[in-house]
Amino acid sequence: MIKSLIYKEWLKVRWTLIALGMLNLLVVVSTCVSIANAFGLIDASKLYGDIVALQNLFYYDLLYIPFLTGLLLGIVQFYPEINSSRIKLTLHLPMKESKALMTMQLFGIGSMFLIFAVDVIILLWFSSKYFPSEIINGMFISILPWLLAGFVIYIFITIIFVDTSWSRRAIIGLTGLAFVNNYYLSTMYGGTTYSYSESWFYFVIMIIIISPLILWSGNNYKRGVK
Amino acid sequence: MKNNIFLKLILSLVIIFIASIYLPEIFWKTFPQRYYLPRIVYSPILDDILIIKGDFKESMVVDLKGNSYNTREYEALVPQTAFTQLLFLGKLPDTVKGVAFTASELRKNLYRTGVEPAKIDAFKLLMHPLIESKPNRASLSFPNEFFSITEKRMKIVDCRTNIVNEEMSDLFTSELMDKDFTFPAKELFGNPTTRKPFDEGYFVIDSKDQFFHLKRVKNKPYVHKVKLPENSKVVHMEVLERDLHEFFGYFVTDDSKFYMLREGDYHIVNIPIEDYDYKNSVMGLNGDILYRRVNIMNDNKISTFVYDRSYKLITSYKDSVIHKDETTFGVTAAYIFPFTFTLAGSKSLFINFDFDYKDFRFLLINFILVILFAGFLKYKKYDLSKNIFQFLLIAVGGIYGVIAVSVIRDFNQKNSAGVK
Amino acid sequence: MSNAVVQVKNLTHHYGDRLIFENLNFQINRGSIFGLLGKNGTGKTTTINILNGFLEPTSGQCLVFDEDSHKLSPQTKSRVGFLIEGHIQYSFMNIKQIEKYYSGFYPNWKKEAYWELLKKLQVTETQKISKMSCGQRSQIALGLLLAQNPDLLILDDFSMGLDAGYRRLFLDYLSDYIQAEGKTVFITSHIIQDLEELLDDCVILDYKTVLMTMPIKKFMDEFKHFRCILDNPPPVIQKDDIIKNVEILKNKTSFFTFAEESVLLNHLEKLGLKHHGVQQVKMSLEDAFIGLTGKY
Repeated sequence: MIKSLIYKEWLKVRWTLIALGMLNLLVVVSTCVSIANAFGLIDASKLYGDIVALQNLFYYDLLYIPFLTGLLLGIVQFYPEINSSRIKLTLHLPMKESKALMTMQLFGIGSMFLIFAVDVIILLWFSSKYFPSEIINGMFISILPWLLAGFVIYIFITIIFVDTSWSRRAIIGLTGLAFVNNYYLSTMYGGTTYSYSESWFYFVIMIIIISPLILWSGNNYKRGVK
Repeated sequence: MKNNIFLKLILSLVIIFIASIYLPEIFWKTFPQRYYLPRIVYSPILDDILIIKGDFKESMVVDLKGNSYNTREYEALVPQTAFTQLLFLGKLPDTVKGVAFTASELRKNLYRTGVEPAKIDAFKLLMHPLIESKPNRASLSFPNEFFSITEKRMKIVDCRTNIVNEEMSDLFTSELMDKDFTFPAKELFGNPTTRKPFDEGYFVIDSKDQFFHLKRVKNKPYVHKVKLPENSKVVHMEVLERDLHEFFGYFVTDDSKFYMLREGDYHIVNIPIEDYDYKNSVMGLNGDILYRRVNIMNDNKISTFVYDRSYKLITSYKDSVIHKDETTFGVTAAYIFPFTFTLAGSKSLFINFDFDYKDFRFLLINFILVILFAGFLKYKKYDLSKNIFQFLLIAVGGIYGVIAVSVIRDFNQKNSAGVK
Repeated sequence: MSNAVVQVKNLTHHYGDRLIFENLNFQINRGSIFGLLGKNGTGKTTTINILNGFLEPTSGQCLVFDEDSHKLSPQTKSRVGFLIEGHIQYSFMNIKQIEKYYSGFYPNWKKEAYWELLKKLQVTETQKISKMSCGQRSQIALGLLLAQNPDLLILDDFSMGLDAGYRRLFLDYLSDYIQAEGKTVFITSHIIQDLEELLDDCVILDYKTVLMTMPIKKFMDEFKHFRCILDNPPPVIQKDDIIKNVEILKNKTSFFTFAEESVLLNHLEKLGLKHHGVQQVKMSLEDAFIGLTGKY
C-alpha cells in the first residue's frame, strides 16, 4: 500500500521534482564554476584570506534555494489534495490515516533530502579540491541551516494545507515563517555573522519534532473542525 | 486518536517557543530604547574629568563642579584628542604638562580599542594566514601558507595547491613542542589581515591553558612561552600591532582581570579596574599622548578609569544608567512577556537557546488572561473543567499561551476521535 | 453480525450556531438501496461526511458495519466504496495509472470490471483524467468503485453534472452491481427522476428537519395529491398533520397528504374550507418529492 501511495506522490510531483532538482543542480554547478574561476583569476591567498577573515563564502547563491524547493514542492504536492477535497480519497484508503499522511510527507522530505544530498556532495567534493577539511567543515555548517530551512517550510506547508480553518492557517503560517527565520540567523544581523556550530543539532531535532504535526491537521480535517 | 494530546502539546510548545522569541523582539523594535551613555574624558588643563552628556545632535559638556562648556571651550580643554581642530585654528599648545605636542606624535599615540562579550564568545577562524613578520618588502602581504593547530600538530597548507606543506608543518610543530606546547590549541588570537603596520603573529592557548606567542620570522618559527600570573587562564586577547610599539596587546583572564602584555620583554602589567565581568561587560580602552582610559559598561552603570601612560590610576568616575528594563516599556514588557528566548543574542556569536525570565510580575497578566479565558468559555457555554489543558497553557505561557490556545481551540469536545 | 450496514442514531449537527439537522435516525439494511434526498443545502453532504468519518457530529451516533464511522478500521474502509461529489479523482493520473494505483490497496481488486466499463469510452489508456469530460470522469470513478467491489457503496450526488446518457449508463452499471448478493448502496441526490425504480428506502431532508423516513414503495403508495376548487380560498392555509403541503395555482388548490381521501375531506370541512371537483392526481417520485418538500 505504501508503495502505491508513493507511486501516486511520484506521479503528482515528478515534473516539479525534476525541475527543482535541475534548479538546485544549476545553482550548485554555477557555484562550483565561480570557485574555479576565482582561483583562476585571483590570488589563492587572497581568496583564502577572504574566507577566513571575512567569512566570505562562495555559497550565498544557494541561500534561499532550499527554501524555494520546500515551498514549491509542498504546494505542488498538497494543493491538488485539498483542491476539491481530494484528500478524502487518501484518507478513505484502507490504511491508517496517520500512516497515509506521514507517508506523503516523508515522501516529500525524502525527495528533498536526495536533492540536497546531491547539492552537498557536489559542493563539498568540488570545494575539497581547493580547500582543506577545516574550511570544508565550516562551509558545511554554514549551508546546513539553509538546507534545513527547506524542510521546515515544506513541513509547515503540509500542516497548513491539510488544516481546514483559514484563521488557524494564518497563525500557523506566521509561526512557520518565524520558525524558518530561525534558520537564517547567521546572515541576518547586518554583517554580523552568527554561527550554528554549537547548536545545529538542535535545529535538526526541531524538524523531527514538527514533522508529525501534519497529523494534528489531519485530525482537524477528519473532525471537520472549523 | 491516541496521540492527540501529545500533538496538541507539541504544537503548543512550538507556538509558545516561537512567540517568546519574536513577540519581545517586535516589541523592542517598536519601542526602541535609545539612551546615550555619558562619555568621560580627562582634561590636562583642568586636571579633572569632563562629562559629555546627550546625543550627538545636542551634547553638553560639564565638569564635576557643574561648569558647562561649549564646543570651542571643550576642545581647548582636551588638546591631546582635539588636536586636529586646534591645529586648524592655530591654537594647539606646543607643550602640555611638559610633553611636546606635535601632530605626528599625537596621532601616533591616539588609539581606541575594546572587547565585548560577543567578541570573546565567538567562533574561531577555520584557518589562519601564516603571515611573514619580517618580509623583504615594505608592506605585509598575504601568505600562501595557512595553518590550523590540530590534535597532534600544526598543519600548514599551501593555498595554491591545497596540499599540506609537510616540511614547514614539521618545523613549526617541533619548535612548538620544544617550547613545551601541548596539542591541540584551545584558542588562538591574532589579526589575520595585512592592513596593519607590522605583524606579531598569534597568541595561542594550548590544551593545558599555557600561553604562547607564535609567529613566522624569515620562514622560521618563532615561539615564546608567556609566563602568566599565578592561577589565571586567558579567555581573550586583543593583539594591537600599532606603531606605538608599546604593547603586544591586552588580555582578559577567567577571573575578569585585565592585563597588558609589553612588547619585547613580555612583561605583564595588571590594569586596575572594577565592575568588569568579561561575560557581560563591554570594555573600551582609549589611549592618547598623556592618558589611558578604560570604560566599562554594564547594564545599569558605567565606570571610567583614567590612568597615566604607565597605567597608574589618576581618577575614576562611576555613574548609573537607566537599564531598558527599568523604563516604562521595560516594566510593561516584564508584565506581558512571561519569558524570552533569544537565539542570536548580543553577548555571543553562537546561535543558542538563551532562556530568560526576569521575575514573576508576568503572573499578574497571566492571571488576568486566565480569568478572561474563563469568561470566554462561560459566555460560549463551554465546560470549564474540561478545558484544563488550555487553562494550563495560558497560566504558564501567558500571552504566548493565548496564541497557542487560539490555534488549538478544541474547547470541551467530549468525544475527540480522529486520525488513527 | 446484524442485518444493518449503516445505523444512524439521533444524529444532530451544527456548523457553529447554525443547525443543519436534528435527531436524524435511519438504518440501512444489507442488500438495500437507500436514498438520502433533499434540496441543495439540506445536509446531504454533511451526512455523507459524517458517514465516511470526515466530520464529527455535534451529537448522536453513526455506525458503519458496527464501527463508529469516525474510527473506521482499515478493514472496514476496504469494504466501503466512496464516490465524492463531482466524481473527483486524481486528475494528474491517466486511466492506466489510476487503476494501477488503486489496485495496490485492495486485495480483491477486479481489474476486468474497470476495463470493461472503460472500453465504452472513447479514450486511450494514456489519456489524463484532467483532459476528460465530466461524463467520462464519472465512468472512471464508477469503474474504480466496481473494481474495488465494496460491500457498501456510498455515492454523493452521482448525477451532478451528468447528461441523461451518462446518468443512464451509470445507473445501468449500478443496477448490475446490486444484483450481486449482499451489496448495499447509499445514494444522495437532488435529481430524483432516475431513482424511482432503483431505491428501496429513503429519507427526505428539509432545512433543519427530517420530512420522512420510509420505504420508497410505501411512500409512493401512501403519499397522495388531491386537486380541488375551493369556494372561498383563504390567503393562507396552514400545514398540519394531515395537510403536508398545499399549493394554490390559479383557482385550483393542491393538497398533499398521507391520509385517505375521506379523512382529508373531513379535515377540510372542519377547517371550514368548502370545495368541489376533488380529483386524485398520479405522481412520479419526483412529483411526490416536490409535493412533500415544496418548490422553494
